[in-house]
Amino acid sequence: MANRGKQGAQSKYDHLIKLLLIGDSGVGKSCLLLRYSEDSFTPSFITTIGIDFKIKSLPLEDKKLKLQIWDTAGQERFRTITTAYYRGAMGILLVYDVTDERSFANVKNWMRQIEQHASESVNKILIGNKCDVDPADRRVSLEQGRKLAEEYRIKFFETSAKENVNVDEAFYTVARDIALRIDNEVDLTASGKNVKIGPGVGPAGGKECC
Amino acid sequence: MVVNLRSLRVSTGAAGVARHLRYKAILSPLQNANKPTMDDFLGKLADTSTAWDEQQLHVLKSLALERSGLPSHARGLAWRFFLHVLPPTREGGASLARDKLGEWPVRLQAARQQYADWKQQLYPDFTRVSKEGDDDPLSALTAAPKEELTREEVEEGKDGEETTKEGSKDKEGPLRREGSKARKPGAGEGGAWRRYYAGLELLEEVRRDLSRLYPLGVDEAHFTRPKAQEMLLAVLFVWASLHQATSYRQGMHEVAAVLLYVLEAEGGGEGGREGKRVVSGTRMEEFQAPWRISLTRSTGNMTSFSSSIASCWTWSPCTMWRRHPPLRPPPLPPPAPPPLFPPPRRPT
Repeated sequence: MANRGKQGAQSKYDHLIKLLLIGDSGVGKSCLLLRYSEDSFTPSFITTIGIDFKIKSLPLEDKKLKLQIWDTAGQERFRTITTAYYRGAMGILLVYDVTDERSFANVKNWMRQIEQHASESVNKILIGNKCDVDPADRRVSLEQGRKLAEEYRIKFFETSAKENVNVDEAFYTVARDIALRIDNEVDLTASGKNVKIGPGVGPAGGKECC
Repeated sequence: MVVNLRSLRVSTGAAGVARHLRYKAILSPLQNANKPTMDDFLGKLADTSTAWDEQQLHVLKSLALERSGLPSHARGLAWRFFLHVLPPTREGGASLARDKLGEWPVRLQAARQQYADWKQQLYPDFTRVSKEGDDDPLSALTAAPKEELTREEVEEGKDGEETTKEGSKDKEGPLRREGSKARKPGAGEGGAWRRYYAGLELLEEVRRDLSRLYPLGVDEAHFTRPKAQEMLLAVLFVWASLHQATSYRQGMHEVAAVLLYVLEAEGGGEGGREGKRVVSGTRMEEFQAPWRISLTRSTGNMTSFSSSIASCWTWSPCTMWRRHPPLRPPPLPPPAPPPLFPPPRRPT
């Protein structure tokens, strides 16, 4: 099987997977990333300005995945910068805050951004962060999140960067789906079919549209 | 009144060190002064028999960037000078001539007054609305407050309770009266109503960032104080209101915090002498300068603007830094402009 990563002599991974974290300001994108990449949490996290990224390697069966995870500023005014990163992204993690209705309502705006700026085959996943909070502070139920994800036909997780709930799972799922998708695409090309069969190859296959 | 900041670069190498030491000696009267007042500081400056040349200003600048390079009061003053709050004293040059120093207190006073006026005009006092039982937010926005609040009132009135009041008001909103009076935001009032909502949103946006502001090198509790938060909130709100095209962008709060820390916490103006802290240490003009520098150097678009902000950070590397600086500069954005403020060299 042809693997892109092996073409370079110094490459120590099979796939380089570029992920993008988006969502409203303050929902915990950076905290999720810190939890996933360094397994730590700090309540005194600072604002992300513009864009930042971290690298994490992830073994998947017999392969090594290198995840390059881009963390974006949530503030709308930075959107001109952040949308420039959509195109290169293979997976997008759309995060909202379960204690903040507005961030949930904005999911549809973020989805529109994805449609406009990301590649069509990009894998998407919806994440409701801060699920560790007191139920009294919760504004978006698990069911609401799940329903919205179904509507968009994408996978869904409720996570807590603070309590380390579902963080690994969410990143792992999207990375695995992308790896499968890439392998499929490579197989198709290798067997002489030049027509790409878009979504539907991976379990999480992108939303069919247009 | 343009100070060529690039020319103020501190030179490196042995010659640079020697020169640094030489000028440090010249500046020593400032360093030995214990808690100098503004007059003391001006007096010391005036004592040096010659006008300050650019090389002396190099040294002054590098010392001003160090945490204990200058006595705190002198440091605040030096920052004001380099930020153009205080005028350079010879047109077209950076030198500091004695005869112009007398203008400084006047300029400071004027800057303070200007900010106070802007704040009164632009910064909505939401707490006051509910205190007076007047639930029409327009009165807080359209009409300027009749009696002037003293600084203490501003501080005390706003701490603590603010968030809850803000929240409940948000729900009741300005439309509460609509039913009874059938008043809708018409053409004439639309501006005010839009401003009200935009104002609420902006406050919320800034507050969210201020709640997670921890500049490195500053005591963690420093900016969590309600007073500091309130000051920053007001400054950023007023600035954003005055510059609506740019408005507030994440990261401004960090730059503002650094400025506030040096200009206010490290002794600003003659407030100490009057026996009360200078709450309006967050004077508007002081905040204009860095943005003005940034924006004229860039095309003013978002990308280069953020790079400009980033280059502002390198400005004070000795004392403050972001707690989690990015690992590496991301490859995709266009190359950042050269740092406006080259990092000062630490004397060994």
